[in-house]
Amino acid sequence: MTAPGLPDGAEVPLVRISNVWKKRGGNIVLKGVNLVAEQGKVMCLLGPSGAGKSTLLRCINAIELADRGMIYVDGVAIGCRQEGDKFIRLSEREVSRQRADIGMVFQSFNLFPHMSVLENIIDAPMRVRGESRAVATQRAHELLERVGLAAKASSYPRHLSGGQQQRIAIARALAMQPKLMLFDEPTSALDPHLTDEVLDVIKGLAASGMTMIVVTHEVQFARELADVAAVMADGVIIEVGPARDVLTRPQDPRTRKFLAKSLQDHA
Amino acid sequence: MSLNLATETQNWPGPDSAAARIIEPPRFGRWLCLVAVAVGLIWIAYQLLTNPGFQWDIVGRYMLDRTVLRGIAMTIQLTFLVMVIGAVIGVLVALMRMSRDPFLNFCAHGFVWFFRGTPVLVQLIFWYNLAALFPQLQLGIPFDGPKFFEISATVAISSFTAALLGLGLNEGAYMAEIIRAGLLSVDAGQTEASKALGHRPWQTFRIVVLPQAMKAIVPPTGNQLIGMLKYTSLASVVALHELMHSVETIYSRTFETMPLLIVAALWYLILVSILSVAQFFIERHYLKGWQAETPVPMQVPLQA
Repeated sequence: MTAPGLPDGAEVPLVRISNVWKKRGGNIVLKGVNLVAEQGKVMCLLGPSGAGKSTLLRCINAIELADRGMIYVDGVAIGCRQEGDKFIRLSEREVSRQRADIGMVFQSFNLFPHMSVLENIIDAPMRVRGESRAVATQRAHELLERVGLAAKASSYPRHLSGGQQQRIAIARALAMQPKLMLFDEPTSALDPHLTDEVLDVIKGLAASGMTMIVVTHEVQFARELADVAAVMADGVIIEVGPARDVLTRPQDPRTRKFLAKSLQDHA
Repeated sequence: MSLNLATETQNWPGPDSAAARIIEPPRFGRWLCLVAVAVGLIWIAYQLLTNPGFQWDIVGRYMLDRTVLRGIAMTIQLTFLVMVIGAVIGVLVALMRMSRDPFLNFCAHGFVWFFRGTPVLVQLIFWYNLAALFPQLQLGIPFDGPKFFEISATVAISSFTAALLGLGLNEGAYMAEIIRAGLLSVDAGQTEASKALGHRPWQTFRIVVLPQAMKAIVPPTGNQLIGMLKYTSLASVVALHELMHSVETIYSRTFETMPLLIVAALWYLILVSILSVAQFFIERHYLKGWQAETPVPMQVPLQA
């Protein structure tokens, strides 16, 4: 399959963000963003707060809606139905089908507090995918094992530490067997001594070949993890390229300033 | 675990123990209040037992009277139906008010404004006398278009339907605000997480948002339910034979006003007590996940 607007034979990127604009209140938060994320690669999205990183990420699974421009995941226009060169907004119900294939992990975990850990993980596979309880439970236990929390299946989120909750949230997203994982500052709400257990899980996931887009403040983590780094400022991508280049030899002065500042903060 | 074992093997400090003793200071105020309350209760009990005006023998005779029992059945039936109507309208209006659609929002606002803003007694009498405005109720195209269905208002609006409409619409307006408050109390992140998992809008509402909102909805709804049980007595003005109206018909004949009002009060008290117990269990159900951690022995072993 070839995505529209790409030369024949070019590898189709899993995510293609094409000239995306978004207004919120009187502010323009995204100003014509273009970005691609390749299959099986990890992309870190960096930049000062207020740059529009989280907004962009949330547009990828239509939790927020772009006002202009289009985002394609696996060649499919997100949030819209394509008729020729026209895009017609889908209903929430139709969008929910697109979201099922995109996993998302939030800064504040957002586990469902009235459900046990196991129920959190098996609910969507059962209700959205129509899997049997046995199959969903089986995979839930495998995922809990993978994030190192096999003993917590019957606990309630409230009784777990932040690091444990975030690892459960990752397991919950993986239970849907997504083709893409989005992370919105997954460690920003955690105590510093709890971040490593979450970062280790994310690194393990990267090693398994999952396509990921990670919004993060942690430059060090981006260095270790990312194949590609994209830097945003004021609603546009100011620099994008192989992570080792962008994070060690930044071209844009704003990137240099951002990197210097975040290294200072961690010193 | 090791902490538990340690406390189990230790004995409570004996009389010779070096652990410091802590003595509670005397609380004279508490004793004084206790005496005052006790005197008051004794006086009330004395009055109840010796004041002939209460006519307990008559109270006893009418507690299980057929007319009274039929009135209770009507009160329960009306309360239940009104609360169901109120809850359904409440959910719809609350969702409309929270919708981003300005038209739905406006309609919901108008509904709450009107039905919360006019006395329920006036609404009851209005519905009961609907025939004065519209002698014929018709379903069809307005402004002299064709009619599909037609019924005389005096036939359609009985005491019961007037009470259902009057109380139900009013209750719907109050329930809408309670439910809206409950829905607003659920963090927006919950909706986002649910959407991100691919839940459809209705699933997000029913599986994720509503169960959490219930924690905030149940206590005031219990309040409304108990209030409604007593507000049904207003339906006596449209000659509905609920509990209040049934004792009124008896004492208007026998002039045993005091004992029959006591009969009604006792029955309301009994019904409210039953509802309060039910509320306790419902509240506990929706606190799932918010309580202190389940003790270890109650957890199911996970790994085979």
